[in-house]
Amino acid sequence: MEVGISFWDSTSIGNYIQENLAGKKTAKQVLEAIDKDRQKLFDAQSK
Amino acid sequence: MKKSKMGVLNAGIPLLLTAGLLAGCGGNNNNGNNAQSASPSASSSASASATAKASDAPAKQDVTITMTAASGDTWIRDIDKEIIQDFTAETGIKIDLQIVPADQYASVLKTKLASGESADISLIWPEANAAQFLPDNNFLDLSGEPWVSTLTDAAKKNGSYNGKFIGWGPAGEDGGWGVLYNKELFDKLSIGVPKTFDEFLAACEKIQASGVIPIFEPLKDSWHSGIWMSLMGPQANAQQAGLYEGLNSNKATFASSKVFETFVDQYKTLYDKGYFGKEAFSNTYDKGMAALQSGKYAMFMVPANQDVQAKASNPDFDFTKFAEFPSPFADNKKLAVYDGTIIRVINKNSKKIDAAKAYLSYISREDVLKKVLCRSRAQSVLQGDPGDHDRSGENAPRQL
Amino acid sequence: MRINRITKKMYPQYLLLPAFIIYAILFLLPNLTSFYYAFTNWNMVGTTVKFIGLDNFRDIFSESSSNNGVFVNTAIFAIYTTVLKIVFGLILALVLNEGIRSRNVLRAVYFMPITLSTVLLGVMFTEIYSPDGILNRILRTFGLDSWTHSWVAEPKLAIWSIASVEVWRASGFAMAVFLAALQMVPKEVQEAAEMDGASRWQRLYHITLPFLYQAFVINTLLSLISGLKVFDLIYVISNGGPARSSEVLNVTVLNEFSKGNYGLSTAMGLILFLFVSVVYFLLNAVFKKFEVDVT
Repeated sequence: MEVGISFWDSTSIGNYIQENLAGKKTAKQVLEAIDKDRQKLFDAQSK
Repeated sequence: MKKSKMGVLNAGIPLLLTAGLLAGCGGNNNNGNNAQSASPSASSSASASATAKASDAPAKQDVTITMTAASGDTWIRDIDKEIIQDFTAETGIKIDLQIVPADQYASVLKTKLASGESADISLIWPEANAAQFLPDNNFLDLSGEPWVSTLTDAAKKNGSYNGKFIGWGPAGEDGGWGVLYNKELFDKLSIGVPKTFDEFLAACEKIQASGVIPIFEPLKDSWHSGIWMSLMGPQANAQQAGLYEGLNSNKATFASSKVFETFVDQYKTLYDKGYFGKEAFSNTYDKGMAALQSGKYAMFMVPANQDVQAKASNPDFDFTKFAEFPSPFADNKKLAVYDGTIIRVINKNSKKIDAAKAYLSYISREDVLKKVLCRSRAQSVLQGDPGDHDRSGENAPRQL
Repeated sequence: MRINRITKKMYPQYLLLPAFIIYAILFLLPNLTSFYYAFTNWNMVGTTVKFIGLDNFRDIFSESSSNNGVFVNTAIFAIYTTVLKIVFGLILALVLNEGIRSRNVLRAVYFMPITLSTVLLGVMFTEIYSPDGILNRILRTFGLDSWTHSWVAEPKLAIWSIASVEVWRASGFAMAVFLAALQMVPKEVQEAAEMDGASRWQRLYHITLPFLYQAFVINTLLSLISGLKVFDLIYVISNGGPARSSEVLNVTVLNEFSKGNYGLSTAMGLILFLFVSVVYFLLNAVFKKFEVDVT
């Protein structure tokens, strides 16, 4: 079943993951940051 | 009273300053024009060209179209460069390749598209991952082209966005990403292919005890960490039905997915235990194969058909000593695909649409495709033990 | 007669007008209009630009954006480089003011790094600081293995390593400013004090340093301002460093711009501008208060 996830920016997500490695974000905060970035794009798209 | 001579001099200086500023502008313009009228060559800037002669199909055109891609083996492979040369020899259309460093590629391309300055043909990730480039606004709808009907259904789906067919790419094989591991070392230390994350941890511990750094992780190329996370997609979707649809319609969040959270925690565990080695933050992706070859590191996450993809740039690498297994996080056993096949799309605002279309039509010809497939299709030796997956392309669990 | 006097007064102004007009159009105007965009939601994806008030600023200072580290890094960079530049600049100036034979050559040598392009220096020091680079190799040759580090790959170390590059680069400039000021110190007063039995340090502290006050003020202000605005060195060497641990304000501006959040990055630019202005005016006032009259 071929599906994909839209608005996936590997570099930006990788940066968040690495902030978790350095102890600056918890795992939850990493995922929330990703959601926030995607939300911006969804918002802009719907205008 | 008479104005002293000094008065005139004083007047001159500010005027000179002003003139100097203006001359600077003019001078730069002249230089710019000169560069543009220079003959097309393999320069790194988009160069204008002589106008194309009105041509019926076989006549050679003297046109240059620009094509932009990211750096790295997976984007413009050696076979792609050969095809471009063949194409130029046959049609006279030259292709000016603009390579952008991979970590900036998405943002550079987005900026160029937004400002209307992008190349004629761009290589982008397909399907859902093309969304960030706003295909509806930027890319030409090629659904009506004659050669589209020659493509397989899978290729058509790969190159479609929002109901329109926007482009495609002859990849021949897209085997996903997995963990390349040193089979010889594993056998020496009696380690089996890990089926769960705990087994993976135990394997890393054994490897570290033997003096080898378990995982080569190029943290400086942060997109690599991002790809690890993307490989969790099938597992996450399996455990939380409808996650993909939810994410794509802005109804679900990553924060709600336990699998992704587990991944981030497990990734940190590997880092904290020192399995990435001390130099992880300064490691870069292009040094990975050499690091494995030297025996300093034992594992490296790479495309599943690495022995084909990276063969040209790593001629001395002995692939018989290596194999691959899927990403072990969260007990995952599925071989996930990160990119999908990279597609070539045409910019709507391009001034050389016909030449660009000619290129896309060329790479869909059967003789050209045969050449690509023979060179890049992996009957990859890296079968490893991929668990349950289906490599026929149509049914492979894919997510971007 | 009165008209003539006014014309005479305004004459210099007229001459400056053309250059000022160009400056205003090409520099002042874009910067002022950019301040407007800092309050909008201008981004790459949306098609309209809407005024959103202080939302951008709330975003920047919010908990989840982890921008605190960025402000701290910028401050660390500015203060660390300023202090060291002044110390080294002063020492070099005092030493090279003596009658050493090779002092002209040495002055040129110490001044030279600032003439090099920061991008070039960035690439050079990326190699020097790399785990197998020159610095670590030198340490290993002297048996100081335990002192070797990943200078720009360790989150805690990165900003200090890069700040040290800046100190090396610009100490020569501070030295040159101090040297110029040192020429103004009257020799007679020095000799008189020496004859009266004042020690070297007493002479330095009571006579020389007061004359250097202006130079000290200039060096501090210039160094702080350029330190707060630093960009190329950080970007080339570490691009914000491992997980944003060496990121400074200007790098964040670029990163946000690359993500397509144009309004947000303009807001950060505005914050930087305000930050630098406040620091400048504050320090200027403080320094004026302590100004010493040396005549």
